[in-house]
Amino acid sequence: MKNYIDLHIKPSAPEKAQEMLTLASELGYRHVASTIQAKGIDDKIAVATRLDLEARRSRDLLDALKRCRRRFDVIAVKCLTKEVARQAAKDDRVDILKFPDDPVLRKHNWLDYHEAELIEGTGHAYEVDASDLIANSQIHLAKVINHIKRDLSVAMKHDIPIVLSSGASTPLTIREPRALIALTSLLDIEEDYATDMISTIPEVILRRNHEKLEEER
Amino acid sequence: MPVRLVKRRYLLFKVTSEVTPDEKMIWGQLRDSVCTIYGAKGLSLVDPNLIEYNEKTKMGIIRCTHDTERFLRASLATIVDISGSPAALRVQRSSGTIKSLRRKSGQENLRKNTSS
Repeated sequence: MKNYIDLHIKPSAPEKAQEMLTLASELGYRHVASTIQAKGIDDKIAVATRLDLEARRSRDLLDALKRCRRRFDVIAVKCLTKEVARQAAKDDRVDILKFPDDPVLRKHNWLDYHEAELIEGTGHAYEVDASDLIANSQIHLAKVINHIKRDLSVAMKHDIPIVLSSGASTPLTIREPRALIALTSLLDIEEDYATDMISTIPEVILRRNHEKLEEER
Repeated sequence: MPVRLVKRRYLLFKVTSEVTPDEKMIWGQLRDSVCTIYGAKGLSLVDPNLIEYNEKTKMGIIRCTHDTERFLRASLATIVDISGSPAALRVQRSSGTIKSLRRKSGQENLRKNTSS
């Protein structure tokens, strides 16, 4: 059985976190990164800590990274501006780059070739949240698909790892791993690669960060 | 011996929702979802069919053509509400025949379960 990993669960409260992590375990995930930690989860599932950073200026991002890097297993940066995207691309402390799904914020902000060159070889990953593909109107969904596909083509040309996560904020928005893999058909991603996006690629990120944090402690 | 020309896949799904949707609601939502994402041509390729649905257990079996299982799974994943109530449809198992699907999942005929 595949070791499925969901690197992005963002519960609204600790009670929800417990419910969501239990559900994720039932659905077949073996490892989850959550923005809120919960106790009393069965030992079938390992839980990593994740921090989602949102910044508009690179100075704010640097300050936040300095404060938080050692406290979290995974750090993702939601690049609200081009300036932040460039900074996140070249900063070793960042694990995942994420772009907003809002078409207005995306107008002048995408994964461009300069950022891709900065990321290339660093191990930073580009993240696709399945929640961006779910619960959207037809027109919005079409725009989101176009934006993600544009980023993916750049990421693939530069061998940037791509991670597939649920981005779930409630128990009802969590989907089983094969549903997430199936959703990548909207992005024209091969099934085998989509399976890696939710298993081996996030596993590499978690292992690398655990080793780094162990060394620092 | 008669040979079926089109190979099928059968998916056992479970509805998670505070309300209890009936078969008609599930079927309507499912068909709309495939149509929204893949359009009319996609709907004809997937050729979905709700084989059975048990309102008590909120479980059902849906059929699609053999090579479009991924599309059907994606369509099921995008369902977030049924008749305005938040909901999720999650696939539990899939198989090439209804018989083996029931055997693997330990489910007997879902309709029979309803009537008993």
